[in-house]
Amino acid sequence: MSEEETFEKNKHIKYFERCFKILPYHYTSADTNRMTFLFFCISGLDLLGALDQVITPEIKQKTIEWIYAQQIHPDPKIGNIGQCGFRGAPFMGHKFEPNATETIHEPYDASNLAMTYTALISLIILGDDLSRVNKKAIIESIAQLQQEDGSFSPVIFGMEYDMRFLYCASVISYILNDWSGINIDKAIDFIKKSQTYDFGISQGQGFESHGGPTFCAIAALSLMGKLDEGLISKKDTLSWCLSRQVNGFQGRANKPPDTCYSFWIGAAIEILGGYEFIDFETHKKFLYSTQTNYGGFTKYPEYEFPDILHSYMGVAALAIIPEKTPEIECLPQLETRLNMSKKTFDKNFPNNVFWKNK
Amino acid sequence: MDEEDNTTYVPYSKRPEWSDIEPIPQYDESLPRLIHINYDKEYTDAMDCFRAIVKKKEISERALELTEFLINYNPAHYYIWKYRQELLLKLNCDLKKELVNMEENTYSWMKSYQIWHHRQVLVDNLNDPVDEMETINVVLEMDSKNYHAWAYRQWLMTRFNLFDKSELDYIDDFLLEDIRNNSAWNQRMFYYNNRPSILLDAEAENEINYAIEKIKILPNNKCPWTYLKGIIELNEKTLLDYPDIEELCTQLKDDKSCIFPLSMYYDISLMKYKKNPTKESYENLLKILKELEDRDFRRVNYWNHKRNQLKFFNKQNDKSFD
Repeated sequence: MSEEETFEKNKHIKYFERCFKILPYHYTSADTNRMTFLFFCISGLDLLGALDQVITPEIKQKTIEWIYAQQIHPDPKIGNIGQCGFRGAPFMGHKFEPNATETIHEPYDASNLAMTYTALISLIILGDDLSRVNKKAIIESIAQLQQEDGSFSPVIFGMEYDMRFLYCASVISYILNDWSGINIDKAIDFIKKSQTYDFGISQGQGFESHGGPTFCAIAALSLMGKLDEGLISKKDTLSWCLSRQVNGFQGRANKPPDTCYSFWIGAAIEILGGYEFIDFETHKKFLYSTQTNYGGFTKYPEYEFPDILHSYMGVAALAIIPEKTPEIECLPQLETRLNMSKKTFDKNFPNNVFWKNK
Repeated sequence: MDEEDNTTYVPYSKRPEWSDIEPIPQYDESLPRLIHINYDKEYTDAMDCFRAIVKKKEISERALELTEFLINYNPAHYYIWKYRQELLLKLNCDLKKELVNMEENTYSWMKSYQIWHHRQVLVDNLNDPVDEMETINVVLEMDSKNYHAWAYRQWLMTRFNLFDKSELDYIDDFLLEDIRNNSAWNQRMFYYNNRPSILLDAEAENEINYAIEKIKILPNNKCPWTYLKGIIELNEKTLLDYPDIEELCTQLKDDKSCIFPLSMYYDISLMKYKKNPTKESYENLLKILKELEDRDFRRVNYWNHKRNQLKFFNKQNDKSFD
């Protein structure tokens, strides 16, 4: 915990800069998810207004190439079997081919919806126009990832399916400006069934309401333009979200507050139009108390070391606050549904090839 | 891992039984490297061999052993899990043995999605719940709010129709331990909401009394209050159908350390008001809101918003009580 509790902007810039280059070995368990961590670093630096200062145009271009090298295209012989989109990293041994338009199918080579989502957002933040994104292949793959109950599995060979990936599929469809890969009625049905007796939203029918899926469902509905249709009672869901504020936010009833829920719940509240109802000052104080001397944020105030996810969520949560006190004035507004700077979104998004001239 | 611990460790790529394998490196050709993980060299070596055997779709005992080694390094590597599942099935391995084999790992990685999914795949293939409830019980004993364990429990119950009444006693034990455990409360609602038979009036009555008893023990605990509303909704009634609940609120609402009795009292009073708006009951509502603002100070603006909604209701219904 810092002695003077204020927003440690410069330390956070250093933290994301370090992570962008190298992660210590205990991140081995994130080997398949490096794309997500790349997004946290790039978007984190962007929110802190330091992207151009830390990443040279040359490295930016290399980053774009690295992202494109993770794209899986259809195989010319067997076509698209639901595996198209982005990998989280080249961990299955693929050659570095950022300009490929075909991918020879190999066993277990499959995209992951969370990686496709974070790849696309990262490309937008880096100013790429998405011209090398194989939209048709991705949309067709999404269609194969939707389950009978309306939820999504992240990869074609079957994994757990829940609200997280319904969100990722929705963001991808929004960015590519094509919803034909999602059966929206089924998706809404899944979201409705995941609303519990307390009007929070869970990972799937029957489970406990939880901040993460609550954000995912609300953001997905908002991107679909179906917020009113998809929530059984919008005011009760908002009330559930507001009840999660302790000082920071808890993810579930009677759990301790945790940095990342300042984003998950905070963003859900913002989308529902109720952000003015929360207590900003104690919320900020909690977040400042989870900052570390090494930069970055921890999950709980008593933890010593930061991690990338909570560091990003801490910054993003502060960016949501509409009336910014001087120490966080540097943060731009957040495009909460996509989880990126609104300023960058406004500047770069209209230039992508799927939205240009639309 | 420390170098010293591994003086006798022979990398996979140097072992005679792996000499037929040409390791495949990770082509991470963007220099300087981005988001570069500082892997242990043992992990890199094993992954190089893993990439090679996956490419040739090898189904073998040595592949199975390699997946276990790698999973211990990276329990979140879902490609390795998937490959292991395929190996287990194609090699006709004893899946029950695998469940036992993965038991310690389940306890160590109880917050990993992958380990639970692995168990689910095995059990689904076995078409038998075996002793999975026992494993779940052990995990919930260690972490009574573990989301994955509760979710897996629900999947098992649904898949094998395990809606025995004993589940209610099991849940009650958790609530005796920690009355604020929302996962346990949710499980109780899951039981009634998902079992094959519908909720009978008498059962709803029982559950309402159950929640009331728990409220009396600790009134400032949101869970049983929410549960009350949930059961009433499931029974297709409203708060107004249960005078006991109003009485409970009346008894507890003046305790200044509590929010929930007063908050439900407000809900009930508002429902009554909407049926019969009188100046007196309106003023009473305002009084309740003022008191809620004082007690629930994190949500002052929210209660103020409720006040505005009330005034809006009056305006729409031509009631000028202000």
